Amino acid sequence: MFYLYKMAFSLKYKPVKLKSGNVIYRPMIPLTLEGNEKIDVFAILDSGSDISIIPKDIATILGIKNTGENEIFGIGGNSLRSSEGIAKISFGKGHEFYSFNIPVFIPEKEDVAIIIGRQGFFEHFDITFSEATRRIIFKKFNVDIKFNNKTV
Amino acid sequence: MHNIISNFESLSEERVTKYAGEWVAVVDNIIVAHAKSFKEVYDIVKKQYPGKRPLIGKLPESLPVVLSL
Repeated sequence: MFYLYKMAFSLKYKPVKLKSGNVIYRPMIPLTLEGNEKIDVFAILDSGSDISIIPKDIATILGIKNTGENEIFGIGGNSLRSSEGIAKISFGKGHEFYSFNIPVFIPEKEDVAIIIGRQGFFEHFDITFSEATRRIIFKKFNVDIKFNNKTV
Repeated sequence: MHNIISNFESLSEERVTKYAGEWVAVVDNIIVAHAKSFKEVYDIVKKQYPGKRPLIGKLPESLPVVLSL
């Protein structure tokens, strides 16, 4: 199978203040959540998270329908009760903007940051986390490429 | 066209550390609201900047993170 990539684009890591006062850099991205209205947000891009998380207040404004109940297990194995739903997002930079749906968990706990995990997002791109340059590099690729009128 | 990327790129180290642990809203590359919850920030911007599309997010203040096994 051949993969045809679109133009790559990159975003800089963002500084995060630790409780110690030190500053480290983490991969964060801007994106638009779409529903009853469009909300521009920034989120942690977390390759170690299976799913994405958005706060309940945002899910309510967007009108995300509850498709189930589940639990999230975080660091240390603590669980958090959550609703499940589907969010439409728009993400990109410059001439490369893409819209697609991702599954989201909506924890009962109010004060959670927005996290974009792997499911529904990472399969749209080849993603490189460059610690050396503090950049995330995205390459959108298309599968099902036609060659001589056949899908290869 | 709205300016989501320029709003995002305006989050400098100085600004991020100043409001660490809070939700912030950025309009025209300036942090115009900060509070302890998304809803508070959202309501402030809706009231004070009608017609504008802010960039909203939580600026983390945390401990270093590792995955548990």
